[in-house]
Amino acid sequence: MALVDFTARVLDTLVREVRWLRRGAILLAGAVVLADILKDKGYSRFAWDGIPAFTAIYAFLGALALIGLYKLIGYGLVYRRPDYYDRGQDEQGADGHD
Amino acid sequence: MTEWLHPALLLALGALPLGVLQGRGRQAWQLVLPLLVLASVASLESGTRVTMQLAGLELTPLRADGLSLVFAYIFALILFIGNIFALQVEDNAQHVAAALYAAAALGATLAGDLVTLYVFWEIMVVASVWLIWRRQQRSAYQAGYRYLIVHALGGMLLFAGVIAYYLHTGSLAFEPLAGGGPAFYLILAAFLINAAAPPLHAWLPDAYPEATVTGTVFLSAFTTKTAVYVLARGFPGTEFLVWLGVGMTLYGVTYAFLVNDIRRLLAYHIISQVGYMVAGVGIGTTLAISGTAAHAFTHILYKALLLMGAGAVLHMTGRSKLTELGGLYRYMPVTFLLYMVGGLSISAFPLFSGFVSKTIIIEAAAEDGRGVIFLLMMLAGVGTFLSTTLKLPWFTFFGRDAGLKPAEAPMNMRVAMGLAALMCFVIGVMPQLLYTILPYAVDYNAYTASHLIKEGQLLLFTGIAFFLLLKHLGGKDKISLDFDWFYRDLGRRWVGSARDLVSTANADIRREFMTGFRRLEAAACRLRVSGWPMRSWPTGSMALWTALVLALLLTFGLSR
Repeated sequence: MALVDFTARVLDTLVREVRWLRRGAILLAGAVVLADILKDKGYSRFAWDGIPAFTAIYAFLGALALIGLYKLIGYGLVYRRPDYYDRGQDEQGADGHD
Repeated sequence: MTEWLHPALLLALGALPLGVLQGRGRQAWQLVLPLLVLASVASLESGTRVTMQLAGLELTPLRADGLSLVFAYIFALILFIGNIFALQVEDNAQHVAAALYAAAALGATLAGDLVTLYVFWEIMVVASVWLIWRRQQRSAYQAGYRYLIVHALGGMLLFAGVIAYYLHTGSLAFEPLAGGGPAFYLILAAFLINAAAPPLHAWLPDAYPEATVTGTVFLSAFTTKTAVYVLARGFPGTEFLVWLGVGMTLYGVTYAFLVNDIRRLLAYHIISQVGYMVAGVGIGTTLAISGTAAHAFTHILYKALLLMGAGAVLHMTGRSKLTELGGLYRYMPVTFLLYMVGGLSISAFPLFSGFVSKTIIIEAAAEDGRGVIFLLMMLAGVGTFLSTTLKLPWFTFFGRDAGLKPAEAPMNMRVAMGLAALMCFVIGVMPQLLYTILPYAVDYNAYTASHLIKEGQLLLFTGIAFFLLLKHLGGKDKISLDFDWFYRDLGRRWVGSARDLVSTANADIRREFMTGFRRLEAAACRLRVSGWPMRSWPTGSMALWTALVLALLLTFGLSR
């Protein structure tokens, strides 16, 4: 139990100091972008290899696009009530969509 | 150990005592047996083959080489870790099922011919379904039956494919299959069902989250990875698999984000990660095949770790929906930290195992000049980090406090998770340990400055996007329809309609027949009452009928 309590206390401290974690992550993100711009990649296999910070832009825009796509697919196509498959056969169908 | 002691046979025989042993004896045997099997696998030298004649067929029940041994090692290892996780379970049937399932997976992996492969393939299905049914809930029984039906179909396809292959080639040896022909497509379809390739995948996210807490760990390891092995053995360089695999990576991450159940979320990520492996098989270069084997090895470890973490939450809280969880980090901090090791591994975070295996496949795609595939794999990496490593742990262990105050997971569960986490880390920092057992020599260094900078950008900027949109990303109390809708809903409605149609037609026909029959009966009654049939017949009429009968006899008699 001592290990569990100690780990819980460490996590509690990190949660309290989350603003420092956030700042550290942003600084690190800036640092890797800077490193990408300054450092020679050593290879040029694809057209985008020469674009500075391409991976950062791709990941950020990709994450936004994926989240948008998830919302679109979820609400537009596949979300149903949790009891959808448990309801009577006659009730199933278009009225299960909400 | 000697080569005649097949590891699968050893494990299958060793599974039998688990049916009767109780208490400490059962727990001890659960730990010793996988270690014996691991030693048995380690004693196999690459190149070992055991052949035998059976009913005029030449079978190769044991073939150990670079490709099969990688899978055999990790199968034995995960059985050990999974058994530690399941030590507290007092259900002999589950332990026997898990051991037989692992034995069948080992047998399929070490099979050198298609008949042996088919036999072990079917044993895997029969053994594994008990890990679902032993949850002893209605939803588990139903999901188990659906699982069984889909895999029975896969087994039939494989059986038909093996027969077609034998008739076409006269051989049963399991070697790379030549393109085209019924055997090629039948066997490929059977393998892809087990690999959970869309649209043949829905059995996996349907059944795995319904299995027992400990059973899901075994299920995640064996079926899909055996499928990856047989694809790598039988279909390397099949171009179609590259696109199918990349489609799987994106399909899996998409559905993973949509579902509310944490074990279902992780089940969808199995599809996504197997997608990398299927794509690697399709690329087919030595680097890609080695990357596939390496990723299967690391994936089994980190996926088991993730499912153990999610299973521990379910075990301790009785809940598995994101909308019903939150704030658990204070009560299950060790589980959270160990889960995060799995999350960082699956996301290819430097220093963890996924970074040194997944990136081999992506590098193989780049070396092969496949730019679009390279970009789509990176996008799937973004999706993986979003849902497995950010969304699931955030809304389970942090986020809104659900008011739950569970105890930390039992010691054996933490030890199992700790062991898997340790291996994820050790492989991450010392990848050569893994690279030396791969089927082909790997000239690849994940820890170059370029790789680190690229991966750092990918993960950090995905994280920034996640936290910017955090308030919109919580779980939704809904289910997400998938391809199983076709047989769970549409198919059932079609069968119901067909049943109603047949039932209605049956009733109508019966009614019409009875109406006609009653009319006939009434007419016969009227005739009898009238006395007409009993009247005296005239002689001329009798002569006419007699002549007619004689003429008919003569006609048909002469025509013979």
